[in-house]
Amino acid sequence: MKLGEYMTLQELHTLSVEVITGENVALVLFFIGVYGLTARRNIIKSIIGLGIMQAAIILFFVTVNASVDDVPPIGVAIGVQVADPVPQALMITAVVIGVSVTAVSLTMFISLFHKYGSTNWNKVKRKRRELR
Amino acid sequence: MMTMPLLGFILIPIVSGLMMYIRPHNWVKKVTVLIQVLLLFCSIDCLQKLHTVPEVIEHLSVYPLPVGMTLRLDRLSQVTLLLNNGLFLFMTIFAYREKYMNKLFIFLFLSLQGMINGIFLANDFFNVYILIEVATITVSILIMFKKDSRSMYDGMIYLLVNMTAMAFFLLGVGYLYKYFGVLDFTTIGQYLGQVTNAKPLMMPLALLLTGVSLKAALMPLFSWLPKAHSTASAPSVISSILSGIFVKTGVYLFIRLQTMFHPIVDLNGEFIWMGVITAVAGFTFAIAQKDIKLILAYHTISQIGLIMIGLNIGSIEGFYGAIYHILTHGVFKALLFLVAGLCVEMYQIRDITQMKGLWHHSKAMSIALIVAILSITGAPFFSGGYSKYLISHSYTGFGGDMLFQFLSMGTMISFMKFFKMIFTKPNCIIDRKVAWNEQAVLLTMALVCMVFGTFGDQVVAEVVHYEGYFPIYKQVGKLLTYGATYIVAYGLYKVAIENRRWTKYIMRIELGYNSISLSIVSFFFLTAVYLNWVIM
Repeated sequence: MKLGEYMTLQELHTLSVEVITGENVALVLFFIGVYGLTARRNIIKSIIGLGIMQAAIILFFVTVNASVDDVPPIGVAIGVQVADPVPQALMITAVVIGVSVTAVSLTMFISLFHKYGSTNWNKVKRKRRELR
Repeated sequence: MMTMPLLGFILIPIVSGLMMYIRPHNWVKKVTVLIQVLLLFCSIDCLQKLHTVPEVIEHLSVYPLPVGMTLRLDRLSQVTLLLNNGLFLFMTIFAYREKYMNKLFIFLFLSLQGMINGIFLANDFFNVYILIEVATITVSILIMFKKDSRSMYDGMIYLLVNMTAMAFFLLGVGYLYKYFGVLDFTTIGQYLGQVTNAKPLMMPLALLLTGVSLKAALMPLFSWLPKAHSTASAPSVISSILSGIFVKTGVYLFIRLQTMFHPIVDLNGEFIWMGVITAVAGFTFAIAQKDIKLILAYHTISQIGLIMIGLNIGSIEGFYGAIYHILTHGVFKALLFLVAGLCVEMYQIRDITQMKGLWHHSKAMSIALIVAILSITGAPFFSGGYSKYLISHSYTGFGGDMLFQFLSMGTMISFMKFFKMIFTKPNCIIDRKVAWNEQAVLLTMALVCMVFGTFGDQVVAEVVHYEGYFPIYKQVGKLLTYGATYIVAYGLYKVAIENRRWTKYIMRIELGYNSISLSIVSFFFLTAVYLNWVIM
């Protein structure tokens, strides 16, 4: 397509299908999570950022080698293309790990908040330094 | 003789810890010690087995490799396995009479041992990921075990930073699965040898290296380590385990990645410099500290740098020297942390400049401490001296010599304060006596340090499967160099370091959570750019 020409609706649709894949969305989400970790000072938001990164990874795994035509790998499916069950099995484990990590972090945050009285990383760090 | 299956190394500690937690009994501690003895015995048995075969692969299901799941023991993992089970035995005996040694602590402690064994035996990326995640959660609970208010912050930073790094690692694993469709080390290693266009593999490698480098605490990514390893609420056995073996999981995975990706990229160029920078930064921070455990924690970083130098120096001797240094550093650093923990309990303070007259208070502790310091500074006849010799020997030339002398001088300077602590007049009365089991562990570990150095040739041949050559008469020749370096280091310490203002500036440097995350992301992008440049 030359410069100055407009896309037809059909072309725009094709382009969006090509670009907005699970893999790309997962990468964007992953770095949104990373942004949350680097730029936000609120501890809760850091934990949420970590959650977003984990969700991105799960999306990445389950979409990476999948196509729309796949059938679920359950029952008798001879001669048809079935979805790869390995990433799905792995991601169930990753979900469990993710939930427990979030739970542990939030529990630790509660006791941290009781001791330091702040949700801000910098203030908490300053108080920690005074304690030594 | 019947040998234990590899799965036993993982399941026996975890299951027995759980059983003892559910059904506590009076003999829980005795059973724990028995389990440790059994596991150490089995690790030594594995050592014998690997003299005849290069690796042992154990299938966990009926399916063959790309589909099934396996455990693998090879000559690298058996060194770390031996170190892990040996250290856990020592730590269990050391903490035998402590109050905190209750059923919950034993359960967490044994689970950690099982999971670290699992990391060294696992043969696929996803199992490694899961085991590291769960081990990290266990460690973050263990370092907050005495519930000190400072430890909340330390534990939180430790947990979140490590989870971030492991998220990078898992995304890298996802990319590998996308390209190869398998997750086990053996098959991916075979496929990597056949790759023609390696450019797309830059992304997974950069992600994996970011996760692994943080676990190994390389230069920009080490800020979490000193807090976690020196936190006040962790019992000293936990600090010993963390510095002695747990930080080595990162180094171990780095070696795995390095050998696996060797057909497509040579990582030596980047990581030897990372090693040098890490080693120098580690001892610079250590020199500036006054907190006894913090000095040791920063020193772990410095020694990891040295191990990285050995791994990436590009010679067989340096490589095996680095693997031997993993073993020797594990023993002497654990010993140092045990002594430091006892000192903190005895003097009730953490500032090393306030502690005086250790020789007067406990001879056994002083002897153990002196042996450990001689080992870490690389004295001949001591374990660190032997492994540092192997690492530096292959790197000839004036620049290399100067670099290694400089590194050991830095180590010597940062341990000057310890000598002051031992050989001064006592300034207080101390009630806490060192129990016989604690003394026995300290002296046994000191003896191990000496055996690993004096009879290094035999130990290296037996454990690392390498024919090192640094016999006793050659070690005698090194004494003069060592003494001269020590004198120069002492002069430098008196002239430029003791009570200087610049040390206070360095002491105050501390990264917050956001800065640590930023350093992780920057490390990832820089590694990606570098790999994009070197992968053809």
